[in-house]
Amino acid sequence: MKPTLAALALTTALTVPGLAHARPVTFTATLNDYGGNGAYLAFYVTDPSGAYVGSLWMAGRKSGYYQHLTGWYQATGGDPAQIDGITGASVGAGRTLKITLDLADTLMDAGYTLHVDAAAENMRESPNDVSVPLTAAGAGKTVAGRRYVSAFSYQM
Amino acid sequence: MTKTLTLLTATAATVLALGVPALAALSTDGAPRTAGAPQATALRLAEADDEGGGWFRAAGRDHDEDEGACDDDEGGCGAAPAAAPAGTVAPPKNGLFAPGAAPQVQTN
Repeated sequence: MKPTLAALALTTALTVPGLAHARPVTFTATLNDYGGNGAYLAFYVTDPSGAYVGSLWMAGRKSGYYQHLTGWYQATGGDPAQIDGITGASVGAGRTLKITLDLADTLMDAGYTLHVDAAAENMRESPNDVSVPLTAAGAGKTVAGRRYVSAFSYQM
Repeated sequence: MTKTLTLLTATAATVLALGVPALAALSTDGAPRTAGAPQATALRLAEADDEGGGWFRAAGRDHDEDEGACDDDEGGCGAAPAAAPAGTVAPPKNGLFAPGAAPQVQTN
């Protein structure tokens, strides 16, 4: 019994601090009615120096098309390991994509930037369609994207 | 002899008259240049395109999220292997996510 309790205490002690350093954040992106097939969207984060840190979500499953998400592709070389477990369907014109994830607290107010690259078949590529600093003050504020994203916001 | 020389000169003149403009209409890479669309105009248009290229349909490929003829989900087309879909494996350990927490996604 005692070893079990000790193991429980240990795992709790290790898990709770981890959870305390992350918070649920919901990213919401609404696309324009651009009149084309589903758009591919890459959500990724860069650090204060502009270096790629990691990906948060990839909307679109066909790896052959990732080269059109040019900012993300240049940063990752299209490495599928960057988006394993965080890849879903492309997003149709006029549709809204909501992603909720437990985001590390250390990303907020520390100079990190969220980027959304977008592209749709037979249409223009749009690297940095959305580019917003991750700040507590920026939460809840809606911004317009450059080409495909008509409205983007994040909530904490 | 004079008649032959005259014929030869006339043929050479005709070839020059027709051939030189035709050669001039070819660009340096051998591709025909469209009359009325000077190269400089095309260059200006290309320079105005500051957002990179477009997504052009690959020859013989019809993109369809559900039933594409060339399905990278199954390792086709010679593209990089497809990433594991959400829910099948844990998110990458890139320091952005809480360990083991999968994103919840909804499309309306």
